[in-house]
Order: sequence, then structure tokens, then C-alpha cells
Amino acid sequence: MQEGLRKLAQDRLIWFVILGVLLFAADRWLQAREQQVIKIDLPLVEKLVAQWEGQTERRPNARELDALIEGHIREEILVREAARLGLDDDDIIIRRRLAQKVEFMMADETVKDLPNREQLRRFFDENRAEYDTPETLSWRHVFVESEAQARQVQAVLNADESDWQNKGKPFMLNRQYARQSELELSRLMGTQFALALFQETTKDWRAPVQSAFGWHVVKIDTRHAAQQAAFEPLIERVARDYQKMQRQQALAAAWAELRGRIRLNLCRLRAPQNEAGLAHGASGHFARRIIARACSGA
Amino acid sequence: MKINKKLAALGAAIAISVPQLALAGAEDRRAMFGETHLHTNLSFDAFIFGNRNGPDAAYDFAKGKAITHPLGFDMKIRVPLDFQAVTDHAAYLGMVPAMFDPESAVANHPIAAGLRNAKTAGERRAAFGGLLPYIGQQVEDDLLDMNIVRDTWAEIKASAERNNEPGKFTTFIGYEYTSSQETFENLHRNVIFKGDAPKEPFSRLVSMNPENLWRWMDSLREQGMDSIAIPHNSNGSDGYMFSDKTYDGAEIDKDYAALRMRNEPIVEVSQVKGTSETHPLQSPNDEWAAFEIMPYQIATWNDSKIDGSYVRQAYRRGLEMQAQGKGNPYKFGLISASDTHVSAGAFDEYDYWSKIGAVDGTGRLRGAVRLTWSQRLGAQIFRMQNWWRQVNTPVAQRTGWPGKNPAPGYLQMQWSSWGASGLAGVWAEENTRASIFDAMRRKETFATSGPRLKVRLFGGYGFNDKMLNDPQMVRKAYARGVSMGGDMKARLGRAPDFLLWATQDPGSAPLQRLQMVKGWIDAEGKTHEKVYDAACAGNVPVDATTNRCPDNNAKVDLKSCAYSADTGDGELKAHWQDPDYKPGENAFYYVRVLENPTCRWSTWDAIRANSKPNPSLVATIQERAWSSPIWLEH
Repeated sequence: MQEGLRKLAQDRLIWFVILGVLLFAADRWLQAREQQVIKIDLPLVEKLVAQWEGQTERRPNARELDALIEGHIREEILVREAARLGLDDDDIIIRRRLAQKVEFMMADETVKDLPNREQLRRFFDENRAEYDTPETLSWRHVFVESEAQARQVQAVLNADESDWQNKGKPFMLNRQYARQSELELSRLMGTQFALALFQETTKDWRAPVQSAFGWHVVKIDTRHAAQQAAFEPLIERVARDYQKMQRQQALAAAWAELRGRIRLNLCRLRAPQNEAGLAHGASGHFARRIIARACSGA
Repeated sequence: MKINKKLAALGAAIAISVPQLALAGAEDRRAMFGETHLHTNLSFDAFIFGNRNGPDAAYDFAKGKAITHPLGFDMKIRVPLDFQAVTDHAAYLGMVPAMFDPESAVANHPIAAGLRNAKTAGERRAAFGGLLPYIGQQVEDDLLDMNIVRDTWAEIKASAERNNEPGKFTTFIGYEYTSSQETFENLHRNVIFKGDAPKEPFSRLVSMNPENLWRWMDSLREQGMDSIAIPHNSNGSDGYMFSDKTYDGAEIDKDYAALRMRNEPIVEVSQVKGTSETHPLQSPNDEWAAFEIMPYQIATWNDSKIDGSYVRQAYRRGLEMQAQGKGNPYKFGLISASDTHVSAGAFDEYDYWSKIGAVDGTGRLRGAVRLTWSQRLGAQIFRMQNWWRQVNTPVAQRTGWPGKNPAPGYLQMQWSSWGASGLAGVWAEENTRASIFDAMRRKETFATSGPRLKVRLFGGYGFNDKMLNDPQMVRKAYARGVSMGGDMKARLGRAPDFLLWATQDPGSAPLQRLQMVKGWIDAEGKTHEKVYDAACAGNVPVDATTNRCPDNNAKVDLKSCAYSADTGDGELKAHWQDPDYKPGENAFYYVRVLENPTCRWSTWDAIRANSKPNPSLVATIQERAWSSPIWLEH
């Protein structure tokens, strides 16, 4: 028996067979390791069905469900194949999408707690200028033909203004405006007119005042002093602004943190930086080539 | 007694809830300016052009805040707007941003590679060009994901609601229906909703035939959702926008006319991609007809047929059709808008950024600034690439190539023929959706080429010269006649009276002349047109034989862009009676008002870049405004 075994061991053929079996086994084992699994479970199917419903506004029938799952399997296999080939490595779409996702996350994570009254009050005090209203005027005017007529109408109105709406010429814009800031007024009537009114001190009808359109007789009814805003009535707006500010700050902080981890290695650019720049049309080809050369040398 | 109390309470409630409506009559309407055509990063093309500003940023811009151009500079409007609609392309709404999503099938689409790699202006153009055939040929089923479209649409609606401030600033929910004939013939319109909007926009992917869009709008209206569609860039429609046939080539009939007018009361006559009022070949006796002419079909170098592409001819065609018993499908009012694709309209010549972002964001890219030798070489290579691409494209889908460059030292692109324009003007009681929408529906609107010119027009009988200086002019004019956009019935064979009125933009040049444009149909059924000056700057009378103002010698210094300060008026007014009226002839009348000449954007670009201006581009511009017409009917 032992003899038989020794003989067998000495037989090259048997070693060849054993080696063959081992190789075969190893190959199967390696293949099995490469075999991947795609799991189709209830949550996945529910997700696919929900997407379908979103598109068609009805539930899929059995055949459509099969097709959905088959489609998912196909996509999954192709995506894995793409990953295996390394296609995701330098794909701009994927890079941007990932960057975008992180930005969304950063923005999402930031604002968790609602601000309390005290925080809002402090924020309001620090940003008063945003909420204060500038000086404004409520004013009326009569549009007239000439400088001379302006003086004449002025005299009439200062004696009796009851019929002011029926004096002068028709005017394309309103005859009367409430609470206009200097900026609004200058956009409406021209800067010269706005300046004249805001420097005006008399409460009577005043003339002549010139605008982009012609001559006017003007009366300022009320001069509303620049007003400091009150906190209480604006609290909702302040809360909105506060949260916006918080989000921006948190985003900036998160960004600074990330940015701080990176050291930049800047290549020297030998290409002239003119207005043409990288974005400049057809010539962009040249600019890019020059810069690429300069960078690869650095 | 009990009932009386209830009535009193009801009366009080009404008085409290709608105080302005109770007080405001037609004479209290005031001119408001707005933008009805604007693309954000949610439009497939705008995103490719580098725009990253969403709808909120677009509203910020309209309210006066600065936002960022794709090339990095600030864009800020000179005077904030009163109203605005964001109108992204419904087809592929939000799709290109979604192509950045590796989970969507869209990312693997053949065109995605071109899109994602596009960096330079040339590559962006190529990417955009690559997308067009897909949109044109309806192979897009494998590209489209309606989930993305619906989500994006919901965000657009939410942004409009967030930014609407009744009384101060009005937003409209809207979108662009980007239809065409077989290839590039522009049949685009913007759909604007009076209030709420449906769950999903009706896009070209559902139907390319605008009649189906109108039927869809009709059905929404029955459900209480009112909307209008505003066509634009008829200049690039290859004659199809105002054709004498329907989309399918059938004869137009009364039903078609009614369907169209129910849904398209106004047209966008001017925007960055040119002005569509009229063409010099159609209006040889109108010395101001050659204004911002954009001769191509949209997104191509292919010529657009003139016949059927311009507004004034459409008005004439409408009179003809009406005389033939087909109804008048072209009885529309006018507005302008920008069609910007960077979420911010460029309305001023001296602060111009065109509209497609990284593709036309500098003076050089627009052909206004001289190229360096290397840029010229690059431009030649680009031309050859384009030529090669065209040769390898089936004839029907070719986007063509430019003709000989008249100024070889400069780029010659489609956007060299564009310009800073325009604004929508409405006469409305208050700054609310309802009030502004109603003004658009009754066509009490006007269009400007950018500046805030204000225009009024009244037609009727029994107007007189004295009314011009009557403080109650507007009230009386409404009482005795109709305002722009209206119809007036001819009386007793008498020539109709008109009151024309315009004021300048305090931030722009003064006015040079106020004109009446008339078109009419004679007893033989032939139409005619004529332009009359009605008032001249400096109180100079109009020459009665030529119907023209004498030259007011307004000048522009092309070195500094300074313009004459001593000539031109702040306002022009006229009482005008039609000297050529013949009883029985139906007609339309609209006002056109011209500013003194100022520098055009191309001249500003050249001066700022210290370059010689491109001699093939017009150096100056006479900014203008157009009223909606009044139609005289017998």
C-alpha cells in the first residue's frame, strides 16, 4: 500500500493532475470572489415605484415593474463597470456634482436652531442702517409751459391753492407723490429736480423748478425725517435676515476650514494676462496651450 | 333693518379690502416698466453659457441689487423695475444642471460630454450647437426626465411667490415655449400666468404647434387659470411668425384668429436679438426702419425670410384677412423685453453685457473691439472648424456660416447684430399681478428699446388742440375715446382725432420727434403704410408736404459719446388728425417716439477698450418707443 502510494507520488502524471485541480479550484475561487451581488430588496423597489409614480402619476403594473427592476440592474452593472474602468476618476460632471453636494450639505447643516429674541435684537442693533428709512418727501406739483408761467402760477397758488389740480398742463406722471427718497425722486424727475426739492425749506408753493420734462411749481407737504426703524414691527424680517446671515457665515467658516487644509502649488504663468483671458473665444485655444506649457515646466 | 346692517358691513368690507380699486379710474393709470422675458441658470442654454444665477438672483437684480455675470463682473440695473417674469425654456427645464448628476441617465447621453467639457466661449458655442439638433429632431426622449422638469418648475413658482410684493414689485410665473417649424424658424413665445400656474408647463416636446399651446391655455382658463402667450423674435422666424397660413400650412379662418387673439394679445417687438417693428425693404419710405435689424434665423447664420417676420406687415396682413372674412389674427399690442440668459437684462447702451454670458460678454467677443493677431488667427481657425462642421451636417440642419467679414480686424458673430433692449411698459392702476396682467390683456402697453420713455395715445372724435394743455386731458381723453390697444368705430365718415404724447427718460437723451405710423386697406383690398411726424423738438412745425420735422442737428461726439445738450425736448405732445383718411378704409395707428442720437453699445465698447470702433457696426442709435396701435373699424 505504502509502496503503491510512493509509486503514485513518483508519478509525474498524478502531480500534474493535482496541480491542475488546484489551479482549477483557485480559478473558481478567484472567479467567485469577483462575482458581485446586486441586491434587490423592498426599499429599492419602493424607491423605483415612487419615481415611476412621480412621472406617470399611477402605479406600475407587473410588466412595468419588471422592466423597472431590469433597468435598475442594467444601470447598476454599467455603473460598476464604469467604476472598474476608472471612468469616474476624472469626470467633470461627477466632480462638480460631488462638489455641489458638499456645498448643499454645508449650507444645510448650518442653521439648526431658531434665533432667540435677544440675538435678533442684537443683530438688529448692529445692522440698523439696513432698516432705517431715509428722509422722504410728500409733494405735489403743477407742470407749466415756461419759467414765466411758473412764477405766475406760483403767485396764484400761494394765494389760493384749492384748485391746484386744474392748473397748468397735463403731466405724464402723477401730480402728487408720497414719501419719496432722493434716489427715487431723481430717477423719476432727474437729479437736478431731486436736489432742488431736498434742499428746499419753504412750505409754500415754490417756482420755478426745472425737471427733465420742463418747468414746475412745487409744494412740499410733508418732509418725513429719516427714521430709525423700530424692532418689534420688523421682527420677522430681522429673523429672516439673521438666518440668511447665519447661513452665509457658517458657509464661509466651513469653506475656510476646508480651504485651510489645502496647500496650493501655483505654477508660474508666462502667458500675458490680457483681456482676452481664458474665456476669450477662439483665441482661448492659444492662451490655454501657452499656459499648459508654462505649467508643465514648473 | 337687519339687511341694511349686513349691506353696510359688506360695503365697509369692500371699501377696506379694495380701497385703490374703488378710487382708481382709468385716468389714474400710471406707466410701469418691467421685464417679461428672462432666462436663469435653469434654462438649458443659459447654463451652458455659464449662468449660475437662479430665479431669486434674477428678482434681486430687478429690485436693484447687483448680481454676477458669468465672466465675473457685476451687473446692476440703472433704475429698479416695477415687475418681472422669469421665463426659462420649458423644454429641458433644469435638465442641463441635472446632467451634472451621475445618477441620472442624462449624464451618459452622447451630448453630455460636449456640454461638460465646454470651457471657452468657442467650446460653449459648439456644445450649444450640439444640443440643438436633439431639440430640433425630437430624439430627446432618452434625455428628458420629467421629474427634474417638475421640480424645477415648482422652484420657479415658489421663487415668484417669494419675491412678489403687491404694490411695490410684481412677479409673474412664466416660462418660454420654444417652438419652431422643421429646424430653426423661431416660433418662440413666453407664457405668463395671471396668478397661479399648473403643475407642469406645456413645452415643445408636447407639441410644436402653437395652436395646441393656445388650446391648452384655453382649457386652463376654463379652470380659472388665466394666461397669455407673448411671441418674440418674429425677425428670426423665417416668415412663419406672422404667416398667412397656419402652422400646418392651412388657410387661416375666423376660429384661428379668435383662438390666437384670445391667447396672444401682445407681441414682444424688440429685445437684445434685434427689433422686429419693420424692415427697410418692407418700409422703404420710413427713414428710421433700419433699426437694430437682426437678419438670421435664431442660433444660425441662415437668413430669415423678411416676408411674415415683421410686426408692421403683420398689422397690414391682419387688415387684409379681416377684409377677406378670415378674422384678424394680428391685432396685437406691443411690449419689449430683454431675453437675457444671464438673469439680468442689459437695457443701457453704455452698460451693455449682451445676453449669452461667457459667449458674448466682452467687446471683442461681440465684434466691437479690434482683435490682436493671435485672436484673428484663432477666429480664422474657428471659421474653418465651423465650415467643416457644416459640410458634415445634413443640409436641413445646417446652421450656416457667416458671409464675408466686412471688417476683418473684428470678430463677426450673430451677436454683433444684437443690441441693448428693451422694456415692457404698461398703463395700470396699481403694481399688482391683476392690474398689470389686465393692462396686457387690454393691450394698454408700449415697448421701448431700453430707456424709460413713456408714451400715451388716445383716439376718438372731438379732441382739439386745447385739450393738450388741459389739466384734465387724460380723464377727458378716456371719456371721449379709446386708449392704445383699443378699437374705435368710425363715425359719419369723419377723420379720427388722436392725442399723442411722450416723455423722455430723465437718465437718457431728450426727444427728437413724435411720430404716427399708419397702415390702411383701400377699396381694392390693398394695404398701405405711411409715417407722419406729429411733433418736433423745439416747437418747430412739421412740414405739411413731407410730413417731416426739419433736422434738429442733434450730434454725438464719437470720441467721448457726449451728445448735444441744447436740442431736444423733455416731452412731446400732439393733437393729430389723419390728413389722408378716406371713409370706409380700416386702419391701424401707432405712435413711435425717437430720442436724439446717442452712442450705440459697440461705440462704448470700443472707447473703453481704446480700440478703433468696428466700421461695419452702426456707431449711434436713436432709442425709441412704440405704442400699441388703435384700430379704426368701419
